[in-house]
This record gives sequence, structure tokens and C-alpha cells, in this order.
Amino acid sequence: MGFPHGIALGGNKISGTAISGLGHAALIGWVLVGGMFMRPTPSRVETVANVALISADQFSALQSIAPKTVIEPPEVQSPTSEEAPKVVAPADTPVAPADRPAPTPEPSVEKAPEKPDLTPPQTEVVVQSPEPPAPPLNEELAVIKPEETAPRPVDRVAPVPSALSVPEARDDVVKREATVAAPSDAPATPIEESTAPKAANTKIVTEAERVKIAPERSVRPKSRPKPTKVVAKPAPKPEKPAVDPLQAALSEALSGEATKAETPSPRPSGPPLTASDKEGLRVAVSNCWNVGSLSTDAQRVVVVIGFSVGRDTRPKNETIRLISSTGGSGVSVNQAFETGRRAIIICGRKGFPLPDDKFEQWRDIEITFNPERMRIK
Amino acid sequence: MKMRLIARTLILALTLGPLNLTTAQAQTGPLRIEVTDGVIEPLPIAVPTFVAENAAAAQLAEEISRVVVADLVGSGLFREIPREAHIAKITSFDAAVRYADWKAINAQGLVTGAVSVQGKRVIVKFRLFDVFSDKPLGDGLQFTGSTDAWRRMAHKVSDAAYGRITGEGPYFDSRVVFVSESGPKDLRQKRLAIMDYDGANVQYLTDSTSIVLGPRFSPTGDRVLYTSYESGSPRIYALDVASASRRVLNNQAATLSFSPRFGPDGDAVVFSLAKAGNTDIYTMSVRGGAQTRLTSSPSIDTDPSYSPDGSQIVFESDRSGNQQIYVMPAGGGEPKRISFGAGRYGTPVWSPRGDYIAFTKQNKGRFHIGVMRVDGSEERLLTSSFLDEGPTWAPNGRVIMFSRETSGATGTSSLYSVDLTGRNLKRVPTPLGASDPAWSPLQK
Repeated sequence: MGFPHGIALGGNKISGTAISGLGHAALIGWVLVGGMFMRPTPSRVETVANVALISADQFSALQSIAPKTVIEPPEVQSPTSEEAPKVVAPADTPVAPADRPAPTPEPSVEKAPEKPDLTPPQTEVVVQSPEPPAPPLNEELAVIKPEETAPRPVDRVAPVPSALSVPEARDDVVKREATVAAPSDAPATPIEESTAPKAANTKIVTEAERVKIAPERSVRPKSRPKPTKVVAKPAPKPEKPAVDPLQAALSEALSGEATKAETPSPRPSGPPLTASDKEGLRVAVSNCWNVGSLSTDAQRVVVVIGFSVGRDTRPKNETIRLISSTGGSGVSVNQAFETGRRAIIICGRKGFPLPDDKFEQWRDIEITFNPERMRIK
Repeated sequence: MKMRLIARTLILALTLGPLNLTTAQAQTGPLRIEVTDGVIEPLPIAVPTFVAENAAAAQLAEEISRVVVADLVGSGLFREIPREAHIAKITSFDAAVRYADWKAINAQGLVTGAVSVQGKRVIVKFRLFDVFSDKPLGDGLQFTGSTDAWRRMAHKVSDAAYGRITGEGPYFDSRVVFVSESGPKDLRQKRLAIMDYDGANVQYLTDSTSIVLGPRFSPTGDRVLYTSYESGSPRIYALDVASASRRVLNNQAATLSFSPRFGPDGDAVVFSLAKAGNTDIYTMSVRGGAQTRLTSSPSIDTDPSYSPDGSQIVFESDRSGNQQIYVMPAGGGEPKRISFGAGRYGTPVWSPRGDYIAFTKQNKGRFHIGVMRVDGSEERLLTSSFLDEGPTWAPNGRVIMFSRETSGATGTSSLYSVDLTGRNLKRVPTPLGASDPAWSPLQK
């Protein structure tokens, strides 16, 4: 099977080679003699600008008026001309190694201590609130209740400091609440904005037409209703709509999410977060979770902290709360919570790495801070 | 036809139902993640110079705030943000704190204070702020004392700030008694000295005419037990810190007594007594009286230390062939060995929190300071050097001080401290060589 290698022309077959030869001959002939029959294309019109001739003196005068632009060639510096970077020479004095203390001088005659004052500084520390101002010395002594048996030596530094008054320092940012009108007794009638009432009719109704609308004859009064037997009829069965069971199954299966989204449910809607999304958040918070200042006891506490996040992916600090904790005492739990909260706030300052289109999935977050791998073993 | 429809419905319901269920189970409620890897870094804090509330307080205000910074940073748990970086300036103790300015320099804690001097009295006030919570951390406090107690007041400020942020107990307002050393190794002169925990205010308790060893504080910090060769052989002395007066505790003939340590009640003293070539552990009252023998073995039992509740004693013994650590009831009884690692273990000290036992370990020519649980588990070595020995606990049970000696004929001994985590190893400055430290309880 194959295609015929030629074209039938008047019953004779002309081979492809012959056709090609004819074509080439025609082309060569046209190139040689074709120019005779063709007019030369007009040359492109050159636009000529009118110029004024000026003399050399005028030119030099113009040059002198024009601002001079001096372009200085960049100065090429050889590498050897570069100044060596200044290096701060180390101090002449050698630094003693950290683990080797300065050689101890040979002690001269070390006499017995001349009854040194070995007690802690001669100080009685009275801890008191700054307001009212500290009373004078004799008043302080008067405050100290003497023991009944023997005078107790005054503490040099009071063991337990007293609390200051409630700190007066506070943020000078004054929160201003939105102005709200005072509620009145009478319910305020809602002002409904409405559009202009519709025209009664866009069509002009003539009397003649109006006549047509009028009833042509009066309705006859209805006859007296016949007494009817009261028979309790069963309620009419609602007519079942003709529903395709296949369609119903499909709609039931597929509309589950939409139906539940309308009812309040803890299940967030929208596209789910990927493992990568969650990992990004986890890594971000990990980098801010500093357990270096935690007590050894607090490093054994696992806390679950919940908070809400705004659409700008920043945490709402006022929503940060301790949900649960395991291990440790109350103080340790508080320390662990504070450390976790600090991590959330600090990491969230510039927003968490969360996808905008999945807001519904991360608007509420619960983070379990588990220092198991960080704690001292 | 109807049957086919029902069948198709069932198949579809079975196919799509689980899909719907899977979607629902993908996430219910809030997004939940678990963070297990954090960072361990010092917490950045800002300590602006305390406000001098009168002209006389200017110098003290600067010095007190410097001590507070040194305490907090020296603990290894905090990092100071240099004052040059502060945006806000604290010019009044009661002025409003501009949290935004401190957040901008990433200060997570802020300590503000004020100092006023009235004659010989000084008043120090301070407040601590949690910058990222926009609120004070606890109430403000105020200390009043004499001007020469300013360092103690600074330490108290540091203790309060440290405790509130970390949850650990305080330890800055404490002292250390140690053996001050001078002279060459083969002719070393030793005497007892006492200083603040940070090396300040060194004062000497004894002269250097005789060798002294192993000072130990009483639970109230007002007395010190130590061993002296004053009489030619080791004897235990009890020294009153305030008056530097002392008395020998055990003068029994033909015996050597050493390694004393107070019991938690401040009355019982546990110590080693060598008699007829055998060393055992005994106890007696610090007021004198009869001695009670707690161990009875042909081995050397020494370096006893009470548990904080006074119910047990940990000590070292070579009864197994080499030095190991044992625990026994405070009234005596069958000791239980708790160290089983390679090498030799000695100088065990019970933590004031009761959770760990610190020890010295010698293994493969190196000395280590380590800790283990009271049952011997979770052994961790915190240091390693030519010679580390003699650990002592800070009052909060978080920091350990010990002595380290360098090698060679000119080697000297110094004091070092290390965090329980093994971090923040640092030298404690002393004017001369130092060894055998013992940390006091918190000062009253």
C-alpha cells in the first residue's frame, strides 16, 4: 500500500521530478527577465530638516554658554593600592585563662583575724509599703512588737518583704469605648430607609378602559348553605413529591457539610489544613518557646494553652488561656503557662504562618507545650 | 427497575458515607498541635538604672542596679539588654511603663527600682514587669536597711525577680564559707574565709597557722563546723560566725574526727571517726555528749550528709572494694549502695530540695562533679577537669559550687559554680586560691 508517485494530467502521469524542474525553470526565468515588467519601487522619501547655518564664532559662543559636563574617568585603583583593613591589635596585657586564677601572692605572715565584723551588714531591714512614706527610725522600732520572754535580736534584713501598694504604673494608652446613646424607656422605632413608592401604574388608564374593568353584572347572592354532616376526616396525607431516591441519596451524602455549617458546631468549615500547614505553625512556635529560664520543676509540666487568632494570623492575646496541665505544682504550672503564653505572643507578633483561605480551620488553636524532650534527665 | 434504583442508592450511600465521615474527622474543634522542641536561651531582661530619689542615693542606685544585673545574668538564665539600647528612660518609679518601647527591644522582663537615702538608711523599691503581657509580675516590694547593707538589698531584689520569673527558689542573698589557700602546693597555707555567694565581702575566720578542712554551715547559717589540725591531728571545731569564737567538738584521745556536717535540726552532727585504724560514721549533739556509731564495717566510711528531712544519710564507703555511695537510715542500719558506674564516687551531698545527690567522680584520670537521683538513677556528670571535687548546693538546689584545681606544681585551686543542667559553668572570684566551699542557707 502506498501513495502514487505522480499526478495524473490528461491521462498522462507527470513525475514529481518534472514538476520540480518546471517550477525551478520558471523561477529562474522570472528572476532574469521579470524585472523588465515591473516598475522600480519608489525610494523612501527622505525627510529633510531645515537647518540654519552658523559660523564657527557663533558655535563657539554657544558652546561657552552651555553648561559644561565634565565626565571624569573613574580612577582605577590597583589592588595593591587598597588599604588593608584595620585590625584592632589585641591588648598587650595577656588575658589570663578563665580556669586559672591569678597566681596567689606569697602570703606574708597571716595573723589571726582581728575580730572581724563577720556578721552580715549592720542593717535592720524593715519592709514596708512606700505609701505612706517611710516613718522615721524611732517609729520603725516602735512598730516592732517586742517578744514577751526576751528581746529578740532585730533582723538585719527582714526575711519577708512587704508588698508595695498596687502598682500605679500602667500603660498610658487610654482605652476609649465607642460612644453609645443612653437607652430610653420607649423602644426606639427603627428608621427604615425606603425607596420612593412605586407609581400606581405606568399606564394611563382611560375611562373607557376603566369601564371594561367594572363588573358587567352583579353577582347573585349565594344560596343558603346546606347543613352538612360533620365527619372527622383523616388529615389529608401530604402528597409525596416525586423524588428520585438516587437524587436524595446524593444530596444527603454531599450536603452533610453544608447542613451542619448552618447549625452551630465546633467543626470548622473550609478547606482542611495540610500537615505542612500544621508543621509550619509548630516550628514557628517552637522557635519562640524558650524553656531556658524555667525551673526544673516547671520543666516537668505539660500545659495545653488555647487562644483565638484573628484573620491577620495574629493571636488575640486576651484569649490566651490555660486549658489543662499535667505534672508539677501550682507555681510550676503557672511558670509553664507563662512561658507558653510568651511564646505565642512573641511568635504571633508578626503573624503565624497560616494560610489565609483556611481561616475557619485555625481561628481557634490549642497548643500542647510538652517539655519532655527539653527537661533535665 | 425499582430494585435497581434501591441498589444504586445503597451503593452510593455506602461509598459516599465514609467519605463524609472522614472529612468530618479531619479536624473537629480548634486546631491542635503539640510543641516538644523549644529553645534554651537566657531570657532577655532590661534593668534600667534605679531611680535615685534624692541626691544622696545617686551612687547607691547605680551600684544596686548593677548588682541586680550581675545576679540575674550570672545565674545563666537571663541576658541583659544593654542600657544603650533602651528606648524608654525610667525617670520616675511610679511613671507609667511604656510596654511598646520595651517590646521593641525584645525585653521580656523589666526590673525598675528606686533608691532613696535618709542619713544612714537606704530604701530600695522595685517592680517587675512582664513586658509581653503588658502587666506587672507580682506586687512591688520595698526593702529598708542601713547603707552598708545595700548589697544584701540588691540580692534580695534579684532573688524576688529570679523567683517570680523562673519559679525557682532564691539563692543570691547567701554566703559561702571556704578554705582560702595561699603559697606553693607543697607548703600551702589554709584558713577559713567567708564571703557573699558572688565572691564579694571576703572575711577570714581563722589564721593560717594550722590546716583547716571541710567547713560546713549550720542550717541557720550562724555556725560553722570544720576540721582543723591545730592539735596535730584532725579535730572537729564549731565556730560561731558572728564572733569567730570556736570550740573543739570532739577531743577523744586516740581518735581522728573529721568530715562533720550538721543535721537539719541544727543540733545533730554527723561525722567520721577513725579509731584503731577503722573509720566509721558517728553522730552526736553539737552541744557535746555521747556519740552514736552508725556504721560498723572494716572499710572507710566517711563524708556523711543528711537528707533534708533528716531521715537518711548518704555517705561514701570503700566496703565494696573501691569508693562508692551508700544511703542508710539516719539512725543507722543496712546501707544501700546507689552508685554503680565505672570509677570511684565520693563526697556525696544531699540537695536541699531532696531530689538529687551531688558527688565527685573519678574515672580514667579525670574528675567530675555529677548528680544522681537519690536512688542512684539518672546519673549525670556536669563537669570534667584535672581535679574537680567537693560539691555544695545553693539554697535553692539549682546551682552547685565546687573547687577545681589546675595541674602542675604551680597549680592552684579555685571555686566554680555550675547549674544543675550542666550549663553556666563559671568561676567564682576569690582574692586568693580557694577550695572546699560550703553554701549557707538564705540569710535571715
